[in-house]
Amino acid sequence: MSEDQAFLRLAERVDAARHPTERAPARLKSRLYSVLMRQQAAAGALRSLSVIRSEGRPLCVFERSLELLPIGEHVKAMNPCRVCHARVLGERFEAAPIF
Amino acid sequence: MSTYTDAVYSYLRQRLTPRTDLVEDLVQDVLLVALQKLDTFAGHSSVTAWLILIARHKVEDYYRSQLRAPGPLAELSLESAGPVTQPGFDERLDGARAQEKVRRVLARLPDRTVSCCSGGTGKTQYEGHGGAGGSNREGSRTSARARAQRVQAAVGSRVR
Repeated sequence: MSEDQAFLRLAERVDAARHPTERAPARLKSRLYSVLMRQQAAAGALRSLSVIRSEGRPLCVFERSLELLPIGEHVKAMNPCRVCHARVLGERFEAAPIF
Repeated sequence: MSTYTDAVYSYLRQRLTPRTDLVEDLVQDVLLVALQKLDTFAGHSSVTAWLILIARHKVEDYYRSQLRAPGPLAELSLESAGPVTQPGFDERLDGARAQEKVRRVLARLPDRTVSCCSGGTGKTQYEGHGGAGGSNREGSRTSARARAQRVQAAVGSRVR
């Protein structure tokens, strides 16, 4: 068994991996979300907001407004978060006054 | 994503203290690598464990790079790091690894030696038997001690 496989097996059994005692800051999570979305958008077209909502995933209030607008689906799949003020605030403040 | 981020953040913070300023960048690196290598994830473990494995490699890379280009130690401020509240993940991992190793060694020993060692109660016979009589107890202790020494020698030779 390789070192990595042994580590994986042990990490499964250690509670710290399943129940972390420390939480990542909210601004870090916002930053990660933006980075991952940017990465995904660079790799190919994202799914439209209408499709995301129909799959039962929640949309934020700004995404929901955009989804309701009578515009083409390709516009709704353009990662609106990259130009959103909420993203900028969320990445810089721990409890950002977003809405 | 929030759950995974918490697990990776928690692990990295614990491993990188006092350099907690690096944690957030490394968490980002870990998730980017995970996204790129998602198709290589075989599903033999949980996603969290897989992410922590990537984080472990990142920490090793970081310390390796520090060894190649050592900086002045005075720049590190232990006060600014803040307390680490999480119990040592790696210590528990090392403990589990040691247990695993003992189990492997015991599995390779002949049955007689193992039963002599554990007695099926989790204790060695030397610890487990109180005995009732005085001289009888003394004799039992002596023989148990001799058996324990034999087991120790057998285990030692297997480990080496």
